[in-house]
Amino acid sequence: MTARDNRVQTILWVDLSDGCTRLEALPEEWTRKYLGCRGVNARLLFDEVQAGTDPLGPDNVLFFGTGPMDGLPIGMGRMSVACKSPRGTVAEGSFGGFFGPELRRAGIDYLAIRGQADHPVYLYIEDEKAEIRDASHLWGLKTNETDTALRRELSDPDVQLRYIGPAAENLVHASPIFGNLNNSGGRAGCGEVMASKRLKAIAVRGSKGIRVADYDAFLEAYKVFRQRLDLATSRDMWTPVWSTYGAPVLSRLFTDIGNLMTRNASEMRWDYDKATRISCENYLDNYVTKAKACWCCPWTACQKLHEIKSGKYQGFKGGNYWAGQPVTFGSLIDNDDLDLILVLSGLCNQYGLDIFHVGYTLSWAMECFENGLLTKADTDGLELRFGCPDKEGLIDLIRKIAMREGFGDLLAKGCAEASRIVEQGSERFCLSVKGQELEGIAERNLYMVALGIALSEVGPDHTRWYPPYPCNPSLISKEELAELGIDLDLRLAFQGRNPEQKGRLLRWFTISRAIVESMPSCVFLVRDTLGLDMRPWWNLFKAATGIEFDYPEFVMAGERLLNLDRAFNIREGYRRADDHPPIRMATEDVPYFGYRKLDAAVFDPMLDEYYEANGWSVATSIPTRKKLEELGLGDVAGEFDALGIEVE
Amino acid sequence: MKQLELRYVAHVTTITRILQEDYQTEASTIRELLDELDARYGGLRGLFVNPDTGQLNLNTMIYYSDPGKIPVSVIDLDHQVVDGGTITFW
Amino acid sequence: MKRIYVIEDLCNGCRLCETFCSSLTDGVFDVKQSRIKVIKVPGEEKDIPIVDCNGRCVRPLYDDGGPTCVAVCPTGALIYEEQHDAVAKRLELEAAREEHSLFKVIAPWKWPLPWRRPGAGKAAPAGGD
Repeated sequence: MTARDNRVQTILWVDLSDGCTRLEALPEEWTRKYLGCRGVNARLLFDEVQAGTDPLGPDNVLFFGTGPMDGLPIGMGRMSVACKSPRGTVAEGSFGGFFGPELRRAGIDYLAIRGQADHPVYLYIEDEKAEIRDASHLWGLKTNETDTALRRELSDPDVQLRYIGPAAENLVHASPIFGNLNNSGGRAGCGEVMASKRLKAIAVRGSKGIRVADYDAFLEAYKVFRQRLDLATSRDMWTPVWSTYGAPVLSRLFTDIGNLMTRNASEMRWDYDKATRISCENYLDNYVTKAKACWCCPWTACQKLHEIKSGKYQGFKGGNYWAGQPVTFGSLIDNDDLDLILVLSGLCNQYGLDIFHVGYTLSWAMECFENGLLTKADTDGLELRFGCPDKEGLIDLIRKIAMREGFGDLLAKGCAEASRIVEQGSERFCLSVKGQELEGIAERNLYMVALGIALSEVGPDHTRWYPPYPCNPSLISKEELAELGIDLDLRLAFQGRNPEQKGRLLRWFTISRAIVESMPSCVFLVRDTLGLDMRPWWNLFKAATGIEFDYPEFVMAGERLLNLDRAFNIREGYRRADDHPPIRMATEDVPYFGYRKLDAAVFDPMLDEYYEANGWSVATSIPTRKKLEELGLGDVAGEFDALGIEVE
Repeated sequence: MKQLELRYVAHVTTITRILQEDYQTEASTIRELLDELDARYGGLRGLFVNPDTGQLNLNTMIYYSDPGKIPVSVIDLDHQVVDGGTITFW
Repeated sequence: MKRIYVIEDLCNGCRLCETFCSSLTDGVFDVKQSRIKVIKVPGEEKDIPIVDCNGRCVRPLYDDGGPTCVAVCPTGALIYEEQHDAVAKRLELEAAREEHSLFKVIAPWKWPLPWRRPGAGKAAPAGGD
């Protein structure tokens, strides 16, 4: 097999209705305009899925995107998965692991799956050849069972897989797609869409090599990149903790500063001893068995495998206790039993559920129960209170959500839909935006976060602007910022509760993270100055692809993607009015700390600043004609004109 | 004598071996406190104090709060400590 | 003579070693060309590097001339040593693991920050927990 390059990208179209597959090359200029991965997916989604398409019908298209860096040591195995969400917005998520490099080695950069099979199937790909195979024997299996079964069936320990669990099969809200056991992505609806097509899994094997255009330059660029991230040389305060002990450190760090969502965020601090019990030190000491990593990650132990060593759940294995679960199954529901957290999150992984959907819907239900809006008659007799008095009942409830049984069926709809059904004012306990649950990051103490959550086209998704705690501003000088074209006073911009510069900071963060996700690489690794200075990324991309473009052109690719995502939502009817914080954050000050609610007086000017900085209409959030033309997206403006959508 | 609550997070525990403690000190600044703790735990000053600048190492953080107040991140190691303060080292 | 030793239980399966090695000869990233392969046991509970190389690297990434695979390994699962030093390092790892759970996931020689070594003197804590 000859080696492939990184300049021209290929797409495999699969129609599950008629069983046809077709491999073709994408236009070479797309690599320049959209980079790859999330950028190309945004273009494909806008082009292929028209407004009003039924998300669970045959005309929705599910895109899996790798990109020119996958298979190279900075791709981190990242992939973007995108489709139209059952809620109506763009659904785009990313995940890591090892599938992306394998797909690229098979000579395929993108999968585009349309149609619907009439029985469960899986897609088997080997070096540019794809087969649609029967998966009736796999349908109903949990994610870990699917992983084992397929590896056995294919007699290949190194086959790479992506699959859905029973929750997606039952069209449970926010079910993601899984792979490598504990990697998941697409919680905005991609799992449901995959299930609606009756596609249980994708398996891929590839044997091509990948040639970079300028190997010497690539190695030099890698060394710069690695230096910013390596434990020995990174100047970022998060690197030592994130690369070893991990994100569960946050329970201890956040509770005293009012950043820890407790009891459905009715409070923002928890008991310190409880926070310590579920923290990263206890996890590493008593549960972790092994470090794991995605493809070529320069960090030691971002992922981990763990096992419960004693007690009621002895022998339960899982992985990746990270930033979400200490909140979703910890402080949010007032549970300080780390065993229970690991069992609940492990079951979510096995059933193929989204932990944020489950955690926030459980905490919504608990607050309803505590306030008499739900009773034991509604909850199948379960005492559904904060503090989790009935642990066994709660564990069984995870299964019931996945299988849509009894009370589980209400929760399976997500808290936004569930509160519409329960009424009685329960929507004020629902922590969601655009129908998607939050992700555990404080808003009333971090205005950039509040803005980012409200604006995100897929619903709350911190990866679109991560991290909420940027690097030390003294790492980068005013002169360097000017060179980079970043017009920000970082000290002001990084002040959590100062509304100034938040819109412009978020503009830069969303553009730069869009670039990182389009290469692709891992957005968690924008450490040190890598979130501000995109030149190391640019050098890597040029060396790998051989494309000579200047820095502003490279950066523009990120902005182009954001405009395509926004345009998709605009076409579906979303406007400025949909970009707002959850009701609780907008109407309630933070108890004890007194952090102000995000009412219109503080929120609207930040929103204005973001839209203006982006060149979007302040009234509607629709990208202006001038902005679209500047980005080479005149066709989008044309389509808006044809649809009668007002473009300023 | 000042009574402080000290908390040690993640890798800092590889030096202190404990997660937190009540601690009595005469130190008036964070810098002086670090010197004292370094005598007890060996390596703490090396972790937090940059030998060139004499200030906080970039890859570390210290939160400090006066009693009943919200913690702030310490930028200047000559930050005063008062009786009843809580300090988180990470 | 130095050679490459593998400490299997420190391997996190990232495949940086395999990926870089595969490209050093001709700039093509192709795992078939790699002199180190990481085996992943199904269920992903083990990652096992298997080395077929004398350690005289085709193209060391850094100026110290050491093998690239060892240089890029984030955990310390690969070391390039004389036998007696390799033995010493392995013993160092075991002793460090007795002290701190951090060394489940990283080798002590890869941890760049101060930490309490085994046997280092320790003052009595002043009350509290």
